[in-house]
Amino acid sequence: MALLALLLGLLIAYPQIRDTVRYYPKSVRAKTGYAEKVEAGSLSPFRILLGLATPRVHDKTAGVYYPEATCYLGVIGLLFALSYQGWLWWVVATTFLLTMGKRTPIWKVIHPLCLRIPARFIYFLGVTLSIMSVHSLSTVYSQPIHMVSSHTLLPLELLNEKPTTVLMLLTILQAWDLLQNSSLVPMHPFTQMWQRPSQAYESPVTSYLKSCHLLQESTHRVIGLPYPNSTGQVQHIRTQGYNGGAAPTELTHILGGSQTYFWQDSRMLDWYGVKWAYTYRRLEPPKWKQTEVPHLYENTQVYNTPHEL
Amino acid sequence: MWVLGLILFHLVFWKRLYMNPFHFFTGEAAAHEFPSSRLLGECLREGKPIKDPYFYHAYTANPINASYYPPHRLQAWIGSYLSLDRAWVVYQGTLMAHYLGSSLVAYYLFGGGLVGFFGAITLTYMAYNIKQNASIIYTVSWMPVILLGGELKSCYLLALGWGMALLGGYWPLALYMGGFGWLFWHFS
Repeated sequence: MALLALLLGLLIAYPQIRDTVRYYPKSVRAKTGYAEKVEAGSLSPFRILLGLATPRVHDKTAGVYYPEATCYLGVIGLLFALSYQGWLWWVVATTFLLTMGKRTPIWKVIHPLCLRIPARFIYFLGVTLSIMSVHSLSTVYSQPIHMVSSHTLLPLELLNEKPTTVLMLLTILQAWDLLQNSSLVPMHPFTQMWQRPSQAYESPVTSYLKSCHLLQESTHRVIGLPYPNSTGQVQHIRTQGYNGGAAPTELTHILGGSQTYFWQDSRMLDWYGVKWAYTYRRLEPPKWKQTEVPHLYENTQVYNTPHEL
Repeated sequence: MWVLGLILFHLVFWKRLYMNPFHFFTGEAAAHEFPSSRLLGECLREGKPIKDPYFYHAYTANPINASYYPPHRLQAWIGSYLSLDRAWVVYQGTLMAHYLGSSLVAYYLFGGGLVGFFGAITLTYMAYNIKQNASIIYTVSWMPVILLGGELKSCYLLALGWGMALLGGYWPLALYMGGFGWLFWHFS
C-alpha cells in the first residue's frame, strides 16, 4: 500500500515530472558526475554537530554564510532527541553519513541516485531529530517526574514539580530558542536591502531598453541586467536566459560557462542576438558602442535574425 | 489554546515581515522567484501556454518555478490583477500560509496538546526550513502530511503529501521525502 501511495504521488506530480524529464537530457545537469555533485557541501562531522548545536552555522562557502548547512532545532529539542531510544537512530546515522558527501565512500556508490550538494541531507537529519525529540517528550509527559530521569538527558528529577509545569517551562524555553532562527532570513549582510517592488524594477537601464522597443516582439537580447531585473520577466525584456545549474547545455556553450558572469565577448553572442550588454568591464568600439546609460553598451555587429535555442 | 499558541508563535517568529511586507524583497526572491511568479500569473490570466521568452527557455521544466503547484498558480493568478506591491504581499502571504498550515498539521501529527505544540514548532521552525525561496518552503511544508500519511497508513495522505512536495518544486529534498514516508509507514 505504501508503494501504491508513492505511485499515486508520482501521478499527482505527473505534469511537472513530464516536463522536467523531457528537458533533462538537454541541460548541463544531465552530465553532472560524482565530482561535481560532491564539490560543494560535503560537511565534516564537526560542521554538522556545530550546525546542530548553534543557532547560526559557522560553515561558509567562499566566505559567505552557507544556508545549506543550517539545522539548529533548539537545545531543548536536541537534548530530548538524544534521549530517544529506537529505530530512528539508524535514520540519523544514515543521513549524517550522507551529509558528509565525499568524506565517506558512500556517495561514490549512490551518486547516480542523488542530486548535487550532499549538505542538503541535513534537512532529513533535522526532521528525524525533531521527531525523536517529540517521542522523548511524549514518554516523559506520560510519566511521573521521578520516573523520567532514565528517559531524558535533561536533569528533570532535580525539579520537584509536576511534569506538566516543568515541560511547559521547557516548551517555552524551546520556543524562545527557536525564535533565533527567524534571523536567518534575509541573509544580511550578504544580501541587498529591501525595497518596494514598484520602485525596485524601475531603473535607467530598463527605461532605456524599453524605449528601444526591446519588448516581447523583439528577437534581440540584453546580457547582464543588474539586480533585481536579471530575468527581465517583470519588464518584459529578453535577457541572455537562465544560465544556472540546470541551464540548457547549448546556452552554456554560447556564453562560455554555466553562470551568467562567465560570458565572453564572441561572435556567438552576435549570433545569439545579444544587442545590449550591461557590464562594468570596458567594452571596445567599434563593435560595442557606449549608450547614454552608464555601463550599457550596444552591439553593432549583432545578427538581425538571431539564433533561437 | 495550543492552536492559538501556534498562531501567536508564527506571528512573533515572522514579526518583521508582518510589520513590513517588503522586508524579504531581497536576493533571489526579488531577482528570480517573484518575477517568475509574475510571468506565470500573466500567462494564466491571459489563458496562454506558459512560455517565457525573457529568461527560462523551458519555464515549466524547471521544478523550482512550481508551474503546476496549485497554491502557487492561484497566488500568481490573483497577483496578476494587482500592482507589483500588492502582488508581492499576496506572494509572501502564500508562503506564510504554508508555514502556518504546516505547523498545524504537525501539531495534529504529534497528538496535539503540549507535546503537539513542542513538535510543531520544532519541526516547522528548525533552521533548515527558514528560507526565502518559495519552492523550498512549498516542498518542506508537506513533510508533516507525508509523515501523517505514514503514521496513519493513509495511502491518500502519503500520496497527496509527496505529490504536492514534488509539485512544490524543490526536488533535492522532494525526491527523498517519499522514501521518508515509506519508512514511517513501515516502522512507526
